[in-house]
Amino acid sequence: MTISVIIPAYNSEHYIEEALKSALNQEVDIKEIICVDDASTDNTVAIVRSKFPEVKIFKNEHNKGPSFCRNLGVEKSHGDLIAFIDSDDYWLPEKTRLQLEMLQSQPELEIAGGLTDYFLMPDSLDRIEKAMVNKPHFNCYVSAVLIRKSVFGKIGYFNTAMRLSEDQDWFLRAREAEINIKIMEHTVLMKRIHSQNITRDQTFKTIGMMDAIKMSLDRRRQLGTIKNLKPLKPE
Amino acid sequence: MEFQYNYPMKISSKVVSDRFEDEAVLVNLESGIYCSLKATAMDIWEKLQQGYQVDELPKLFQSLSDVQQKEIDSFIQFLIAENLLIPSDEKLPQAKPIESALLFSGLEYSKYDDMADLIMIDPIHEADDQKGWPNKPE
Repeated sequence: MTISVIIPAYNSEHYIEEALKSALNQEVDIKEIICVDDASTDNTVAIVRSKFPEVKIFKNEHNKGPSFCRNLGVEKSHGDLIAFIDSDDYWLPEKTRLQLEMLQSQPELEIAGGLTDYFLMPDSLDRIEKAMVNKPHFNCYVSAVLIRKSVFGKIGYFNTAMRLSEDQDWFLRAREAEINIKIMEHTVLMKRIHSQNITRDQTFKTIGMMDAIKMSLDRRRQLGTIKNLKPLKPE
Repeated sequence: MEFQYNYPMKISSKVVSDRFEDEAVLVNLESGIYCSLKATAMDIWEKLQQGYQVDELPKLFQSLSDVQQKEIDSFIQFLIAENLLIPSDEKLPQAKPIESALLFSGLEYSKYDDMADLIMIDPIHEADDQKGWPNKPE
């Protein structure tokens, strides 16, 4: 099975190099890396072109958000398996190997996931997450999973109307459709926490999640009854 | 049946809620539960958000039967049990004007706990339209 890596980027000049190096440094072969640039105004594209000539670049003329970029990446991909990485995060070297092994050994498995750990920018402000994220966990980040491409045919692509929580919305749809997902108890993704100061407990992100929850409730109601989603627990 | 709350209550700061056309969705960021409130449950939640106290709620309705008052009481107990509504040690707010305009149209509320892990640990990754994603700290 071949792996396509998709990295959306917008004004990511400071961190994209680290993200791409981690994708190239995987313990298994990666068929292709696709960077979808979302109309960056900094040196993102120049950096990718000069330092990573093997990366395929698609440039949006106008900024369209992470969902559009991920979807375009999937459309342009040729691999059997899809992995996403955000341009400010990085993978541990064993990430795709471990997840590939899961998918190869379990043909019924459709999404193989792992845990996320966090690192703070040196001058990031004290944030609520610091109290909560004291150990690696799974939080539906698409950068922490490896996905059989067929899943997109079953549940669709990322919602382009959502600029935040689009990954959580996608995972909710996957859970509603009872896509076979397993999360291994192993850290695969290092996620960078930013210095933006977010109002405690009331965040734009959270509000995005409210939309995702509401849409999930509505979808489940359309089936006649709302049944609880199968839990996603690392194993 | 009268409400028996002798102390002020407030909506917990751990609760995030959003009102949609036909329902209010509440999330308790501490416990990870989320709730759907419809009809009169949604109306009551809105009044609580506006600062009305629990014992003022019955006065906000045009009329309430005993059964309906009991249903409201059960709903308030639910909000308290789920730590959505908590005792307040703040000074009682000034009484708000009472307009008996609400119509009781049934209490519909449900609780779900199948996203607890997702809700309780939700580190922020905010995309800024100007600075991009990610932003380098200044």
